[in-house]
Amino acid sequence: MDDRPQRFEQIAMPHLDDVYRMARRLAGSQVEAEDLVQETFLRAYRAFDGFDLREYGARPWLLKILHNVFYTRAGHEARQPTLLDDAGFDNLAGELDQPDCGSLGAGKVDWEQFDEELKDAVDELAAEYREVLLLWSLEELSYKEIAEVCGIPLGTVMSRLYRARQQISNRLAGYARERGLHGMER
Amino acid sequence: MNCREVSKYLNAFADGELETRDNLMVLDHVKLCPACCEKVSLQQQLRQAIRLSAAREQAPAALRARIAGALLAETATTGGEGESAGPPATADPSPPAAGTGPQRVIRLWRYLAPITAVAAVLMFIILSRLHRSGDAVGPGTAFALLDYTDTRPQAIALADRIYRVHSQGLPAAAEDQIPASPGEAARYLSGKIGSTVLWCERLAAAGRSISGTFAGAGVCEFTDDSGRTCRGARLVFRCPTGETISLISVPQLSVMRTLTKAPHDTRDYAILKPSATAEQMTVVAFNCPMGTHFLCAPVDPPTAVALIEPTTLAHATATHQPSATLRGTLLGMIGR
Repeated sequence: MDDRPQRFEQIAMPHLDDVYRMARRLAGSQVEAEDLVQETFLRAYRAFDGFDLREYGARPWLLKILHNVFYTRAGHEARQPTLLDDAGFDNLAGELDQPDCGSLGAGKVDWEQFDEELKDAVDELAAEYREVLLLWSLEELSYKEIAEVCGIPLGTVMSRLYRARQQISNRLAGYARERGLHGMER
Repeated sequence: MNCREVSKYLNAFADGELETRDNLMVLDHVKLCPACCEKVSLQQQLRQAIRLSAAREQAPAALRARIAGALLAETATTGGEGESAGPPATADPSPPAAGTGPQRVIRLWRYLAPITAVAAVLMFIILSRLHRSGDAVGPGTAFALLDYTDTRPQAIALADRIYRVHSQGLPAAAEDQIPASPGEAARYLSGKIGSTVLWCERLAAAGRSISGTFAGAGVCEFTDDSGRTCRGARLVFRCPTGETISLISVPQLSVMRTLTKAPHDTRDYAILKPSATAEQMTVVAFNCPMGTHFLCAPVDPPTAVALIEPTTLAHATATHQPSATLRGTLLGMIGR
């Protein structure tokens, strides 16, 4: 008797919340997110017999399918074209030498003050940046896993992540300045 | 290494992504440099903050049920054969399968084979009832899109079993969930469901078995608001038009209340007329973007009779615009 339903339930379904959270932040609405998740799991189920858990953990595998579903639905190529400023990480060296004046700066931050602003900041990132950032923070994937999920080189992962973090830091720093927040110990 | 040299590696260091040698080099600097140490700390805090900001989000129970239903239908359609070729990530981008269900489905895929027969009988009962009712529910057009012609004998026994479970499925602990009076029931359901018509159906009439474009089924366990669980059946049918019809059979009204919280499940409800017999099930047929669904629950006859309301399906369909095919099916069921 085919045990695929049972195996799928044991291996894939425990990651439903993870996939949903990711979809929710990628999609423009809850309805769209739910459709993305359903299609992701349906595709995963269809391909489950070819899935090798040892080679590819279930969660990255599901997230990779989500990635493809998202970009297919969004009308993008599954492998998106490189962003205009999507330089490899090595090319960021010069930029990294610039003073980091716009960022939050160093110190301990009271993140509760920035909860909503942080969400907005993430949501307003370009989809390619947002996805990498969320895979890194929300899903806690390694750079290599992110590269595999998104189908992009490791250096691109690092550069997108760098820029995403930078944009968020800049926005939060501006928010703090505007409101005179003192949650950051400079 | 100085701050300038180490800056390129700080993020990767904070993320634990550096090779051992590079990691040690950066570590040596960070230990002695408060500024870089704080930058590392900030990146780690940012990662944590983003993660925590979304940590409360969980997949809605209705989505779980919807996925379970879609997978169930997929299993029935493919006969357990999955795609064996190609990397998963490039799986065929076919459209999402239709389906929906109750809020919390714990297990859905068990006992697929026997419940298949139950599905056939239940659908036959519904179909035959509609034919018998004649003027009350329309000229037998309820499931005109479906074609049932099976004669599996085991279906009778299984239908009887599920009927008995349901007819006895109102434990004392759940009695408080049943409206105390017809008026209360009407108010309760009108508040929960909106424009509704209910149809009560006798399951005891099971005597023949048929089947057709049955797509899959499973025994499922539902948990209501109070944490009580009960067992029901989820039956999936596929129309030639590609629409999916599900029948969810559960034994407690309280479960219905839980189900009505699902965002897609509360929009449209078709109501069919009840019988005034002692042994009956209330079937709520409702339409949502993913298909048409039927929910069975036992309600005592006075309550069921009280729940008969003028059909307002036209309003519901106008509001939520199901497909023309689906609308025609529903209208046929209520004799419009």
